[in-house]
Amino acid sequence: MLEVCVKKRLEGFYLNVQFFSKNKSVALFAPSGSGKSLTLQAIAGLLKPDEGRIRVIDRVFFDSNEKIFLPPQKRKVGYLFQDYALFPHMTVWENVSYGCRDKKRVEEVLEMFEIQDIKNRFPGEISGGQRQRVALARALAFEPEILLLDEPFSALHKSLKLELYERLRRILNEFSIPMVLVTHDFDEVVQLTDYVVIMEKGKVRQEGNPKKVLFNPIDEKVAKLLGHRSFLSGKVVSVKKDWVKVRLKDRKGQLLEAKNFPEDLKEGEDVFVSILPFAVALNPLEDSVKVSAVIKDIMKEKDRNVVVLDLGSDVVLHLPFSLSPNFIIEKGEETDFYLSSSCISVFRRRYEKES
Amino acid sequence: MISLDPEALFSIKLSLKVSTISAILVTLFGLPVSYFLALKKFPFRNLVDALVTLPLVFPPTVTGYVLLLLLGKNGVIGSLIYKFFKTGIVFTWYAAVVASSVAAFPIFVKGARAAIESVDRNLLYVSYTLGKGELETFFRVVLPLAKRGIIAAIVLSFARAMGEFGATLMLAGNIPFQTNTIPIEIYSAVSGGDFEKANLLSIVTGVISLSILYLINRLTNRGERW
Repeated sequence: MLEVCVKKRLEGFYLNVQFFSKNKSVALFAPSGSGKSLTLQAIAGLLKPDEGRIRVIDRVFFDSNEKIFLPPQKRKVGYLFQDYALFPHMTVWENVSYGCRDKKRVEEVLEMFEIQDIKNRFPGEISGGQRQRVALARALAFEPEILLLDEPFSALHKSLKLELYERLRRILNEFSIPMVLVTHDFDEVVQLTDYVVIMEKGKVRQEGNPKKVLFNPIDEKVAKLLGHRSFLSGKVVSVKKDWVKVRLKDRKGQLLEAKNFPEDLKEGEDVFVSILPFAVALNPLEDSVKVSAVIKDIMKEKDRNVVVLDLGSDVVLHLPFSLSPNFIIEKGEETDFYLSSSCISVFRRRYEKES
Repeated sequence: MISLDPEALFSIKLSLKVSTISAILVTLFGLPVSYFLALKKFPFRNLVDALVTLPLVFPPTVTGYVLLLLLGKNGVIGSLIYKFFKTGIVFTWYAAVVASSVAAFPIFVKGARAAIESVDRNLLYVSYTLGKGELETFFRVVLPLAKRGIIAAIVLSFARAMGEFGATLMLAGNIPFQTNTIPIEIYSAVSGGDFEKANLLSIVTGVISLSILYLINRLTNRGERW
């Protein structure tokens, strides 16, 4: 479906990205400055790679060996910029019809995005959410064969985001076109895509199904990007088909069971164990492991307590208020916690050298 | 009633004519140059940039002298003109146009380039991905958004052409009823002791300059009336 191999040397930055996805919607997930927007520009034809190959479904956009470079005008991509890049001197109608001569289609798209009422207004006169809808409408009126979204939700309010996720999902279904989404919000990745490419410093670090990747980061760097916060060192004690046992290097040498681990993990390996903040078991009977730890700190947030446990290193756990009335947990006390072993990940320390 | 003699009147008409033609020429040639300098990477970009800016830092008499060497009977360009048109442009009002244009060119390019650079690059990218070529993008996106800056640059280059003296004197000379633009006419009036004429022409220049400045301010400060 989507094949991307891009090598581009820029001033002080080397972009070397390769990934292949059979899925329709792909996320490029990375911290800012990792080259994800550049990758998107290369797919759109706005950046010419030094070397590589870009293919969308059956159309080759770029191939350095065969000297193919399709200009952006010929690629039929719908590009949504972070700031939407609406033409400020044109009305909503003029913006949407910019790439589409068919007036009927423009009207249809305006209707689909519920922006027909504001079609005579200028971008400066409408709200952020409306602007985003206009930008999407403009991209889709052009009948693109792939949609490229560059952090489209980052400027929007949280409540608005959920509504837009839903709209985007509907549109992708309706138009049945592939999408590449650039984001640094993993929530978006899980909600909107079924393949994620994790980038760092211009390179791909890991790719795969978002949920699988979330629980199975290849190393602590990727884990941190994905929101893992608590890393404990330990040694693998036993490896079974579905789970591994790891002895922690805390005071008591407690055993932890984890359901997420590299396939080729061996007994006796030194590893990192990550306990995700939401690892508190909903059902203590099923797949849960008991750990006891001293509570180092309790912080109140809007709808939950955030507790810091001492398990050799700090472990951060989120406890909904319903699970943790104030009189049950107390700072400085040793308390038992039941953790879901499917929210515990085991991975190797980063061993490869930076190249 | 104070009145201007025919020679002074001629100088006003000539100056307006020369400056208008210069502004038009400068815009026609300067716009593509500004576009390329603002948006493109090409070899010797810095060199082109420096060459374009040169007349701004050169003393006008030196610019005029260089032009004289180039356009004179034996000059590289001048000899070609002689060959094809059997006449030269040095010491005609065409020479005044050339001198004014060369002097005004960098001023136009500086302004127009800044105006084009200030257009959000993503807007151009969007236009390209929506199937529009560079030329169409220029006329539908770049030009409308850089319009104010470009018009301001045209007005400024017109003003620069109006005030051009040194290079014009070198290249077009001071021939009454032929190449005597306002600044040159004022110079001859003062050296001939005709201060009344110099005063009047200065006032005329002042009025024109003030109108230009007012025009620019109107263009750059949207909304404000005064």
